[in-house]
Amino acid sequence: MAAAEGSDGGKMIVLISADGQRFELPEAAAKLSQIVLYMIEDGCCYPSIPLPKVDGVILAKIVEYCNKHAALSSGADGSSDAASERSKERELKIFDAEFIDVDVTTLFDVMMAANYLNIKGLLDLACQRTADLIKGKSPEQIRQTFGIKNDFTPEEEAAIRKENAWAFDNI
Amino acid sequence: MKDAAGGEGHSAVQAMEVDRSGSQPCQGKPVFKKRREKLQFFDLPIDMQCKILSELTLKEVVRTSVLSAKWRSARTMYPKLRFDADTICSGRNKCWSKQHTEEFIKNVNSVLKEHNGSFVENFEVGFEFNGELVTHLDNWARFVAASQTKNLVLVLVPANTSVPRYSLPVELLDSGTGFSVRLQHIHLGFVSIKLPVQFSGFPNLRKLDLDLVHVTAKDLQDLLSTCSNLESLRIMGWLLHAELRVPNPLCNLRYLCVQYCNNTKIEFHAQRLKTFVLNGEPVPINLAESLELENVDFSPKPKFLLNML
Repeated sequence: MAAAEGSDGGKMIVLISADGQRFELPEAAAKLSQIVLYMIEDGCCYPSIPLPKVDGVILAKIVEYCNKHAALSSGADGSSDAASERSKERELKIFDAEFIDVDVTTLFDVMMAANYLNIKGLLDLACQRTADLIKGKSPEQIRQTFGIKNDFTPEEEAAIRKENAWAFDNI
Repeated sequence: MKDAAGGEGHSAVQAMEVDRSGSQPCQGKPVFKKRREKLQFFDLPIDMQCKILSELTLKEVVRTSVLSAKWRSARTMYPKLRFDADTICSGRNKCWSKQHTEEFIKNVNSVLKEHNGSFVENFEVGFEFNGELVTHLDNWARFVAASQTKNLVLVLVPANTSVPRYSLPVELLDSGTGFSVRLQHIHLGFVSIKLPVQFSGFPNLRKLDLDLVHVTAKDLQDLLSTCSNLESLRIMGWLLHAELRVPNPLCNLRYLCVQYCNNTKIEFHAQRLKTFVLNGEPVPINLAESLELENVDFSPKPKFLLNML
């Protein structure tokens, strides 16, 4: 089966989610996933690659991430001066921040998919976002964000705070 | 990332559900629709949990202990243990006071008691040194060895120069004991080192920083000779009037920095050395084999340090 070509002449890859949705994206974007890169290099399943562990909703997010990052990766449009590099970096940063501002369920699903597909940048982003949801927050805020049920009695909680008083000084 | 397919199994938990409410059944066949199951933090693979926790400070991780019984275990796998007065003391006790030291020891021990003793990336201690710490430091060195810590930082500032240095039990960290084969970076400050008779050393060590460390010329030479994979070496304030010489080749050494030492000579067999920094008095140098040397920086000892060292 011959590889399809995108509008800019680059090869296109089709990723198929667990629920059978098809996502077409440039090969350069798909290759941000190490797993897909290996599959392409091995020539298996090329050019449509089934990803039975990722469902469509999440794969759509992953494809969005890969498309943006591949499009803005250095030299993608031929320009390579420092100023345009900086502006691309800024644009990616803004994109990343908006992209990862999702509910915790989606965040963990994206993280698992990034781990499975081996997309390091996205995995780092999702882990950092999770940590940021904990940083500087009160226990009650963290419980709310992550849907954690407090199964301690007030006495047990007080005992833990007392044992670790140095960590609870300012809250 | 350790394992590309680390998510296997976990993302497969998504449950399949028969959706009979669909308006367009496919000729009698059930239409399968995925229902995304809500993952919780502890459903993530362990290495991802560790990665997330490592973005938090020790204090932030310990605070999560009150969230729920399950979260109480998060601290047991925190990979970046960093203990200094800022991170682990309340600030209520005055520096250098007995209470300050006691609080520090108590808190470090309580963190280590709750730790599972594995997955440790960094173990860092930076604190004022007095004799009371010795027994505990020995125990912490055992923890470092048993947990196969990757990066060890031990900087123990003495109250004054007359206080004896902490003698690091190097034998505990010796690769010959089967422990510590993962040690990749060691940074020691104000400690003394005496090598045991049988010493296999640190064959996996990539980076070594020694600040004001007491060690004989022979022991330093023997120690460095075992570090066959060393890439970066910095020695600051080694005050012996002796040769700094390593006869064994250090084939991977790229960076060598000798600062404010009183050594009489420098001799290394480092074929791939790229950068050499010497701060202090000029001494005879033999780096004849270092043909790839690109950056050389000689600068004298700054005046303010002359009286201190």
